[in-house]
Amino acid sequence: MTTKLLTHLAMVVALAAPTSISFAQKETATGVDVDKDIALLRRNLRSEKKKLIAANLPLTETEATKFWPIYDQYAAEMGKNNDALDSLIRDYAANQKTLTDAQADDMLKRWGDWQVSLAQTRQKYIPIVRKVLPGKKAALFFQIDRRLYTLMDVQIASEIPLVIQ
Amino acid sequence: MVVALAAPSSISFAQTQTATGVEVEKDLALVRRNLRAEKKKILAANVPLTETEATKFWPVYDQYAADMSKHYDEFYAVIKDYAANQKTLTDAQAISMVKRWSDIQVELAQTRQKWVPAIEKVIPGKKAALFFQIDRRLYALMDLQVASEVPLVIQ
Repeated sequence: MTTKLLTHLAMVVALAAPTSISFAQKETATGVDVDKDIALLRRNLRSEKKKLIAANLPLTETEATKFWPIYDQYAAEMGKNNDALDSLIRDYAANQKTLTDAQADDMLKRWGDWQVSLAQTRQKYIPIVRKVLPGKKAALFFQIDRRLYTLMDVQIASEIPLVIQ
Repeated sequence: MVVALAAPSSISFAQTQTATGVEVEKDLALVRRNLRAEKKKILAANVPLTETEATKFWPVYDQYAADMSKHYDEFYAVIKDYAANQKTLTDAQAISMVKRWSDIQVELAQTRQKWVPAIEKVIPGKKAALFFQIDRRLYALMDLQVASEVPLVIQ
């Protein structure tokens, strides 16, 4: 029990780590340049995520052999979805100071589509992960994974400059 | 606004242990009551609307918020079920809860997507974008609050 508790505490601290990454936005004539910052954030989060999941999801050797290739596919698919978000944030940030109502409308639609696509990808992988892990381990994986994505959501949502009126 | 947006995350679950899990019902009810009231106040303070826009916008917002709340009601029901049975959870129960939770996430995203054109009918594109940006930031904080407080699945 103590070991579990310590593991949980370690994870809480570790899970907070990615939020310390901050966009160092450079002002431009029409907006801000966030290209390098987004790349850095994603690289850090991808490597951190796998390490945190490995440290907190107890797998037997047999389970691990089956699970990690599936995880890599899942992470790559989620990564593709996040490419769409990166592109959207870059477009928005670069044009933030001169944004028109029509551009804002287009971005809102792309953002709405991205959220649906991300949620559907996660939904699709539940039975796939369940095939290689027992139900409780699969549930723990998605719980930790979701917690990490939620941290990333808060990080990104807080760093993106608000729409200028 | 930064301070105001951070406010909801200060609400914390005071979980009571039971034989099979933890009791979170009262805590969830408190979080939801506080967040609903806070959210509208924060949005009103940060989305600049003319009187005409406000007259049209707030009734639409109330419908949107009610629609989102229906999905959050289901989400909290999943958490309540899970927390109550956390110590005795079976593999079948665990995966069933993850599936229910995932379905709700898809529904929430689709609901938000559905309301974009409805909001854009009553306020200009840039104001609609600002509204959804702040709204999303508040939901993200709420999701983080809940995700951090829900106990991890015991193996």
